[in-house]
Amino acid sequence: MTAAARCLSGVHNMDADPIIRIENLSYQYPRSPAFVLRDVNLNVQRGEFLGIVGPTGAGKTTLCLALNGIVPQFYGGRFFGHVTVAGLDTIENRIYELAQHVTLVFQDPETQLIANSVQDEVAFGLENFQVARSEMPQRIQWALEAVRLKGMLHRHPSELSGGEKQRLAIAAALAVQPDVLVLDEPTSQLDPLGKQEVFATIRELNERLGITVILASHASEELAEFADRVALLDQGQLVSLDTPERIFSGRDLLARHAVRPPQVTEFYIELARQGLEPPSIPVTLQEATAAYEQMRDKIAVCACPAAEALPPPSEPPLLSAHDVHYTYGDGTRALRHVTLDIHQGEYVVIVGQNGAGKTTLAKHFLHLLEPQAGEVHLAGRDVRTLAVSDIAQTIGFVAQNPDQQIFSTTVASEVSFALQSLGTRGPELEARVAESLQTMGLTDLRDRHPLSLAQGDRARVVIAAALAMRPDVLIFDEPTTGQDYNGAKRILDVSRRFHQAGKTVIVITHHLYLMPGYAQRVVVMGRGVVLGDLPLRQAFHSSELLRSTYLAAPQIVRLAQYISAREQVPLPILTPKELAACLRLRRTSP
Amino acid sequence: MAATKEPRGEERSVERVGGATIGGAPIAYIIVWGAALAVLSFVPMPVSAILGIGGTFPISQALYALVGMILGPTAGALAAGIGRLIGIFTAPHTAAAGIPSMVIAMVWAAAGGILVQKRSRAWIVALVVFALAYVAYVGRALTVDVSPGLALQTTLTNLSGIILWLLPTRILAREWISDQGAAKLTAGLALGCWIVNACGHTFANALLYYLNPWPANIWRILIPIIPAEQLFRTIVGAVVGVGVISGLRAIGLPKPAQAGY
Amino acid sequence: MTWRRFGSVGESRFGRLDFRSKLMVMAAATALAFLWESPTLNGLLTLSVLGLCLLARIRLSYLSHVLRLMLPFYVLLLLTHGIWNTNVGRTVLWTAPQGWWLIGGSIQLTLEGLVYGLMIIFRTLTLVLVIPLVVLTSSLDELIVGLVRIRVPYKVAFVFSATLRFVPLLLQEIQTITEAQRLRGLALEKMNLLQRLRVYSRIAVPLLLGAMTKSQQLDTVLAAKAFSGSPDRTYLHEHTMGTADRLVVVLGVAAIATALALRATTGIGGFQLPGW
Repeated sequence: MTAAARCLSGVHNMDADPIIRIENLSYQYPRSPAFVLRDVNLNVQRGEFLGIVGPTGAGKTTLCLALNGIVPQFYGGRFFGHVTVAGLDTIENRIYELAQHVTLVFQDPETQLIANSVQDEVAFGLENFQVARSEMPQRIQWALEAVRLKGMLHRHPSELSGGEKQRLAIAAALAVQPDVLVLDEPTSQLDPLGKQEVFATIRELNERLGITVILASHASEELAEFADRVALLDQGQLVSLDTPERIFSGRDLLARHAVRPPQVTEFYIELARQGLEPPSIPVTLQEATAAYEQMRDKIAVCACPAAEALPPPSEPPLLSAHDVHYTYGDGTRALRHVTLDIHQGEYVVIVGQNGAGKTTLAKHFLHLLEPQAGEVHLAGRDVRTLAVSDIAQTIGFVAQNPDQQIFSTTVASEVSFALQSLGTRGPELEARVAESLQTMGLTDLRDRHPLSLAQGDRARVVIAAALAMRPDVLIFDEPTTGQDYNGAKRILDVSRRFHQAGKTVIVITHHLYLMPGYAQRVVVMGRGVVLGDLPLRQAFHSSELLRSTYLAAPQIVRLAQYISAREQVPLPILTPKELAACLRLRRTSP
Repeated sequence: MAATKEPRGEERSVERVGGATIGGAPIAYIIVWGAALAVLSFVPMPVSAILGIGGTFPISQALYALVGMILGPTAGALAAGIGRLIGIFTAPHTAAAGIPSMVIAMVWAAAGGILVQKRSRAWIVALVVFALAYVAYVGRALTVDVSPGLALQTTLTNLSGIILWLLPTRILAREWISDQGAAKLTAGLALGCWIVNACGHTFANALLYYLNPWPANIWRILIPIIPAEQLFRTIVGAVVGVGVISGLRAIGLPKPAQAGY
Repeated sequence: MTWRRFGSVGESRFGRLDFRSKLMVMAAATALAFLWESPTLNGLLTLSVLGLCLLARIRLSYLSHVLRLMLPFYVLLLLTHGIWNTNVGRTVLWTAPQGWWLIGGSIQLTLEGLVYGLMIIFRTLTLVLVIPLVVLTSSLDELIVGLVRIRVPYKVAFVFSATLRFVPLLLQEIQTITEAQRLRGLALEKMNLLQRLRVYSRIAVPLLLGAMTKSQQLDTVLAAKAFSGSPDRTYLHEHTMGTADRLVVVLGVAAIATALALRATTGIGGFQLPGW
């Protein structure tokens, strides 16, 4: 009986001998009044691929840590219920014992690698478990082969890409030969290529080697495709546990718990609202195209929003790069022949895989770097003649990691930091700080230490600090990485407000699918070169272009392209809602 | 959503095991402090005293006292030692005494940790060590044509450290550092850093002077320089200390067992 | 941040010695440098260490880089001892001519002073060079296993290895933090000493707090890999002492003992002008 079949038959926790048994689990961290997990009941079958979804703060990480005893043995706190892993209770057995059966892969690729070479990283766990030296080399080889990192034994982790780092972490977790591999948001810090690599690896481990996988993630599309079951967690409670089909098609359920369904699912739910109900709501692209085929005779495609051309710019550009070249000290050629103009009032998104040169370009605009050839201009002046601190008054920069931009002991002093450096004092300073705090909804938090706030709030503090200088341009560097859907939307909404006030916004990201409704123009970069500069709608449908920089067109675009090919009608849509709006119930001729 | 109803599951008795620690501090803290100190040894302070052994001195030197106060004596010494060692082979000119430089950093940090311990006799051992170091330092100087008067003038700062270590000012510093108010914390750090820096400097010079007994005229030149260096180190230590400790308290990161804050 | 990139090139007989023997070499060299005040002996010691560095195929560019960095300090050493070392200075070599501003007639260079300064240069060179000699010629796992073999607790050796791993990361953090400060309007170029002092402190605080916050994850990761710091573990890498190693250790101990004895009894090793 396959794992999937076993799951489906025993979907409601009534099977024999699950590898993990969670019974009425509740947990409270020490010195914290709230319960992070409440009455969770869940059994995991051998060989199963279980996905865990839920908003940030739902307790996904705590649940993962409860599987090998770290919760509660590492922290203390109050623990209720029973968790049994491979027959071992997680309170009565040491973490040392449990960790041989359940290994963990964490979200941050950097801090989870602790050794100075790939080989040593994989060996570390084996050494801790006192595996005989004679056995280690073959186990290491096996693990590295399973994740396709063979031949990199002596590389230093800093030489690996994000996807490779996570695969290394998986190999290290695998070498121990555990029963269960638990991954806590392993791809949220990665670019699309890395994400793809990691999911492919995990899928292979589950299908080929039969390893039980538990994966907490926001990546709905991937989970829908690979998971046998999905658990929806919110505020510490297991809201629902079911097949991906049933979880992801439950629109109200997902909306209530701030989980984003796969785009094709969103599309079919919209369609169902219009009276075009498919036999079952698809959750993967394959199911979506199959469902379309089934319903084809009932559907008529009508006019679709055409790709609007952007209005031609009237004035000279605000930011301009002309034939810029830049090579880093270690020889990386970050920018080559980059020419780009950005005008006042535009909202531009720069996409490309890691290493494409996006952040390097932004740093040129800010005069943190100087081009080795070519020129960069701000409002007509060469940036080389401007001091960084002066440019900072015109261009606000919000870096990817807010913690690197926090220097003060209170939120208010953080926001006023820059203004004070520039000489603003007294009532004017007060007024501007209050204004900034107000805009970002931080007035109540003004006396708190910024680092004591939640991740999302810290990001807002940094934005408030940048806004305090009343810049004309805001550059956001990867604002959506590591955020859940709502968190990402909140930050993008701030950018939209700023844009609607007539300012210029540049967003650097690889989450293209989040940009409809915000950006108008897309600059595609790859390997230091500008590969394309198009209106948003066109960019979404330029599959070749996106593929050349290892980006995938959003799922809904691929469905639209399929339908478009079938019906021979162009469908340059951006979102599931737009696609649904293009389709109508075909009227049988009177 | 109200979370007042009792959990359904049976409450279990939990014994907190925690992770691996050295000297009461989580290993991860030691690792990152060591790395931070190693990296900060590249960031030079704007004041340089190329006399004595050691070129422009890096910010990390001002932080040895602090790492001991935050991590505890053993953990602090380990972090300081490793940070220094890595600094040595990446930038050898900042530690012209090689391995002894590493030992100096460790003693310095240990002193910081010992200063803030409540129930420990280690301070007596430290006092003896520093007193002996002072005697060795000045003693050697006297055998190479440095007059006692000059020696005293130049080592006023060092003496102040040892005296303040002996007197209850040590306890005062410790209590102020553990005070939750910002003003007392700052004062405590300033006083504590002064004491630890002066004693650490004494130990350092005892070793360095043995390697390079600088002549009497240099002693004269050092009369204003040593207090100035000491002042800079103490100010930097206090400013960084206030920032870090108030940050640690605000974030609520777990406190090492032998921390002083 | 691999070793190889630093200063060492490829394999060498010296490099193949066990780490413990290399530690012995370092201990002996350090002890002798401390013990001896004789310019001849210290000079020979430095030359030997330098020779070993070359034998161990440490890159010449690294060695010259170190020397270049130490040069200003060495010049100062020579001058301070040459001019002001009244303890040993007897033979005047050169007096600043009367006409010179400020120092005319009063500054004198003594032979003994200069030689003493030279001796100290040799001393510090030995101490500085012996560390890369030992550290750069060993791979990291040799270092770890070697330390454990001399009874350093594994926890400590691990902290060293992990610290090394995180140094490049923190280096990058510092750069990002500095950039972020510049973007908040901080103009380092326009600041005076005291202001700059505050700024340097401002770089250290976010670096340390950020590092400590991130380290929380590290502790969890270590726990998940069953790392308790316990000494019960196996090692992937194995390093044993061979005959050459034992020889080196014996020689090292003998050297220190002999030098001590000689110095105590006959005063050999004390400062004296060399015959040459």
